[in-house]
Amino acid sequence: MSEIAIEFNSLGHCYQGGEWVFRNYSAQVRKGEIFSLLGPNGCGKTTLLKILLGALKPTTGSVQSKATVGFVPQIFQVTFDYSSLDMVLMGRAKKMGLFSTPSKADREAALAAMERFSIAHLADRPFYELSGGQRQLVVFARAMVSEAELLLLDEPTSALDLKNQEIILEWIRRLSHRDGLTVVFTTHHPHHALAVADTTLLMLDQERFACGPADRILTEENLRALYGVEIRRVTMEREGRIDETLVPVFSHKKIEAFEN
Amino acid sequence: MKIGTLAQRGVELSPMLLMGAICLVALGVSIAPPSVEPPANAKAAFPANRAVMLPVILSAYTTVNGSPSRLLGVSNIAREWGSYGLLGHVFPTTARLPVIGRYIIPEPERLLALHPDALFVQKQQSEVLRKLGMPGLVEVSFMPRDARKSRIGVWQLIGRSTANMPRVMELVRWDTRQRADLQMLLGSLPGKLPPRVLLAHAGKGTWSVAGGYYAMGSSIEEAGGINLAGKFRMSGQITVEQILSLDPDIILLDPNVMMSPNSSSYDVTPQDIYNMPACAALRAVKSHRVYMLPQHSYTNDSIDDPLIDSWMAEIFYPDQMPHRARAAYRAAYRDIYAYALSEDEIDQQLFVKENLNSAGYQRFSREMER
Amino acid sequence: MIFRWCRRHAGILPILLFLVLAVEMVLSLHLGRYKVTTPEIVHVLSQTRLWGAVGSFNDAPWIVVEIIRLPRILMVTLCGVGLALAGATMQGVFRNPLVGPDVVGVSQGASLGGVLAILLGLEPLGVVGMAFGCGLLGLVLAFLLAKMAGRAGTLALILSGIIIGSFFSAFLGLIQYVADPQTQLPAITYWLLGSFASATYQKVLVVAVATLVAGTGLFLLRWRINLFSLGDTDARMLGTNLDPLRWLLITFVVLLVAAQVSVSGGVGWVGLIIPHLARMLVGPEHSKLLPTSAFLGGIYLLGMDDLARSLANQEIPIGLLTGFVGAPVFAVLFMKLQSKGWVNE
Repeated sequence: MSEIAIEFNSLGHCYQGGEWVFRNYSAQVRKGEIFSLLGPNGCGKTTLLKILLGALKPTTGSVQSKATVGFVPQIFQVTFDYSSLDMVLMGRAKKMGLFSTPSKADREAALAAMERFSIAHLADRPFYELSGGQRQLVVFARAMVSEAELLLLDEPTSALDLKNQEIILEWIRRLSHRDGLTVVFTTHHPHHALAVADTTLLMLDQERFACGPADRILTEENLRALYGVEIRRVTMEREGRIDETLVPVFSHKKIEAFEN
Repeated sequence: MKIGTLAQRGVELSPMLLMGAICLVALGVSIAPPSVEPPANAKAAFPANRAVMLPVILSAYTTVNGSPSRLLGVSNIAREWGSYGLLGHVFPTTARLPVIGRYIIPEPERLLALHPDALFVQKQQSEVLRKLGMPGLVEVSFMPRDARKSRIGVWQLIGRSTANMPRVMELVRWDTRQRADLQMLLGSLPGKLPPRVLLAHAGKGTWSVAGGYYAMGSSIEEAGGINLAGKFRMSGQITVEQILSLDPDIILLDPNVMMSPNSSSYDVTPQDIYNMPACAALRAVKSHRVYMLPQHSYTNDSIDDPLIDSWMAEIFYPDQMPHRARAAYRAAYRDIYAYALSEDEIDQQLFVKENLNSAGYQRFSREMER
Repeated sequence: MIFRWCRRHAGILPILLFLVLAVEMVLSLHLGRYKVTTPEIVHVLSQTRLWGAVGSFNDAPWIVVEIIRLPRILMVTLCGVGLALAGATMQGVFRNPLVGPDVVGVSQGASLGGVLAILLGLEPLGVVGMAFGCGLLGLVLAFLLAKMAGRAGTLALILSGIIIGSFFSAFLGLIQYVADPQTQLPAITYWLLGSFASATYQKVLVVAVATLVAGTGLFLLRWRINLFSLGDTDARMLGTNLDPLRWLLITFVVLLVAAQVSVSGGVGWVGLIIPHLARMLVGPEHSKLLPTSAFLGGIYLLGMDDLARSLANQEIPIGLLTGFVGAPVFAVLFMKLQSKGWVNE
C-alpha cells in the first residue's frame, strides 16, 4: 500500500464561544493521490484546510503530516504590480536565508517551475495583467518552487471559465500521475471531483462525513444530502467510452408554468 | 563563474555598504567632532560696537543706549516691536535697522559674515550659535510674572555688554522712584477697595486672555488692583460667559496679549464693547469702565511700563488719585529720552480719543490738565 | 524610456544614485550665505584632522564648512535616507501605497516628546532624547492596544496607530494652548514646522546610529517584505511568520522616524512620496525598491534643504518646502506615468 501523506483523527474544531464547526472527522490521504473535499458554504472547508495546513490548531484531534505542504490559495489581488516571476520567486522563501535575496539558483528554479506549467513566457509580465487561468498557474508554480510534496488547493477552479477549469483539472491530474505529488483540493463542483479525484470527503454536517473512493461516494443521495439540491449522475458515451458526470437539477418554476 | 556570483553579490550588497559607509563616516566625525577653540578675549569684546540683537529687546536697548547706531542688525520681530509707537518717534532710525533673520530661526552663516562683537540671543536659539565660538554671545531669558524684575534684568544685561552701567543705574533709580511714589500714593488712600480687573484682548467678538505668567498682570497688582486673568493658567480664548461669571469691575483691552503690534489689533475700542449685546450685562460695561491700555513694549522693557502702572492706579481709584498721567509721561520722556512729547503724541499713547466714552477718562485729556 | 532602462538595470541604479548623492553632498558644501570658494573648501577639508579637530573662531571658512555646513549636510542626507526607507517599508508591510511612516503614531509621539521638552525648558540634547523616547513610546502603546484588542494583522495595527497618533496630536494641541506665547510658543511652533538649521554633531550622532542600526536591519530583510502582499496564511505556508516580522520591521521604522523628528521636527512627504517615485523607476519588488528609495530620499531631502537655505533672503522651514515643491513635482510625474508601480483597479 502506498504511504500516507497526511492523516487526521477525530478532528474537531469550534471557534471561541461558538458551536462546533465539525467534530470527529478522520481520514487518510495517500501519497500521490488526488483527494477532494466537498461541502456547502459555511460547513468548515476552509477551517479544515487551515488545520491541515497547520495554520490553525484543532480543538480536538490531531493531524499527522508526513509531507511538506504547499498551499495554492484562490487567485487573489496584489496591491503592487509584481511580475509573475516575482510572484513565483516568493515561493522560495523557505529555501532562502532570512536575510537573503533570490540567488541565481532560486531564479532558475522559479523559471523551471514556470516552464513546467508552460507559462515561462509570462515571467516578466505583471501578475495582474494575466488571465484568471494564467494566474492560477503562477500560483501553482509558486507552490512547486517551494518543493512541496503535498499541494493543498483552495477552490482552484471557482473563478475560472470552463476552458481554464479544464486546464487546471488537467494539471491536477498531471501533478499527481506524472510527478507523483499528493493533491488535496476543495471545490464546489462535484463533477470536478468525479472527474479527477481518487478519494473524496463529503462534509455532511457537524458529526457526519462520508469519505471514500470518489466513484463510490459521489452518489445522488449523498450529494442531495450534502447540498440540498437534486444532483443527477449522468452516464454518457464519449469517444467510444462510457463516461459519467454529475449534473445539478435546479427546481424551476418554469416547469410548472409549462405544464399549465 | 565564482567571480560572477561574487560580483553579483557585491552589486546586491553595495547599497547597504554605501549607506553604511555614509553612516560610519557621520558616526566617526560626530563622536569626536570638530570644535571651535573659544576666543581668548571673549569678555573683552565689550563694549560692543557691532551688536546683533535677535530677541525682542530693542526697546530696552534704545532705552539704555539711545539711538541704535551700534547695532548691526536685529531680527524682524525685534525691529517691529522696537520701532513701534512712541519709541518709534523718539528713535526713528530703529525702523530702518537691517533685519537679520526671523525671530526663531538662527542664520549662523549670515551672522558669521557680519563679524559682530556681541550677539544677543534667546536661550533656545543659542545652541547652534554657541558652537560657532562667536565672541560676545549674550543669552537672554525673560522672567515671566514679574515685569519689573524682567525689565531691570534686561537693562542690566544690555548695560554690561555695552559698558553703559551708569546709565542703567540711572534708569533703575528712576524706576525705583516711580514705584516708590506710586506705592506711597496708594498707601495713603483711605479704605480703598481693590477693583477686580480683567486684562484681555478683544477681537471682533472673540476674547483672549493671557494667563498668570503674563508680566502685565504684575502691573495690575502694583497699581492696587486684583488681576482676574491671573487665575487662568493658560493663555487662550475665553467665552463671554466666563467674563460674565467673573464680572470684573474694570476691563482693560491689551492687544499685546496676542503678540501682534500691527494696527488691526487696536481696532477694537471700548465703544465697540459697549455696543456688543452679549456684553451688555457686564458690570464694567454698565458703568462704562472699559479702557484701552496705553501702548507698551512687547517684553515690558521700556519706561512705558512704570508709567502704565501709574495710569492704572488712576483708572482704579479715580476719585482718590491725583491727575498726574500726562505730566508723568512728559517728564519721563524728557528726563530719560530727552524728548519733548507733543500733546498729540500723549493723546495717541493714552488712546484719549478711543477711551473718552469711558468713565472718567476726561482726566487724561489735555484740557483737564489746565 | 528612462523608466524602462531603470527597471532593467535596477541592480546598479542604487549605485548610480549614490554617486549622484555624493556629488550633491559635495556641491552642498558650496551653498550658503557666507561665500566660500572651492579652493577654500578643499583647503579646509584637507587640512582638518579627522577626529577632534579644533579650529580658531577667527577662521571663518573653517567654521562655515566644518561647524555649520558639514553636520547639516550629513544630518539631512541621513534623515532623507531613513525617511524614504521607512516609508517604503511601511507601504510594503501594510500593502498600501497610501501610508507614510507616521501611520503608527510615531511622528506624533516624537513631536509631542520634543515639544514637552521645550516646554520644560530642557537642553537641546534633552529635546532630542525626549522626542526619541516618546516616538518609541507611541509604538509600544500602539502595540499594546492592538494586543489588548486581541487582534493581529494589518488593520488592527493601523487602527491602533491612528488612535494613539490622534491622542498625541490632541495632547500636542493642548501644549501649544498652554505654552507661554512670549517665551515658549515661538520655539515650539518653529520646531513643529521642521528645520535642519540647528544641526549639531550631537544630532548627527543620533541620526547616524539610528540609520546604521535600523537601515541595516531593513536592508537585510528587504526581500521578505514582499511576502506581506500575500495573506498571513499564505505567507506562513511559504515559511514566513508575518506577525513577528511585522513588528520587527515597524520597530526599525520607528527608530528611523523618531530619530529624524527628534533632530529636526516634523518633515512630511519624503516617506510618502519618495517610495512611489522609486517604485516608478524600479518596480515594486522590495529588494530593489528599498535601496533605490533610500538614495532617492537622500538626494531629495538634501536638495530641498539646499533650497531652503539659499532660495530666499531668509531660511524657509523645510516642512513647507517639501510640500510646495514636492506636490507639483509629484503631480507631474503622476500624470506622466499613471500610477505605474501599483495595480490600477
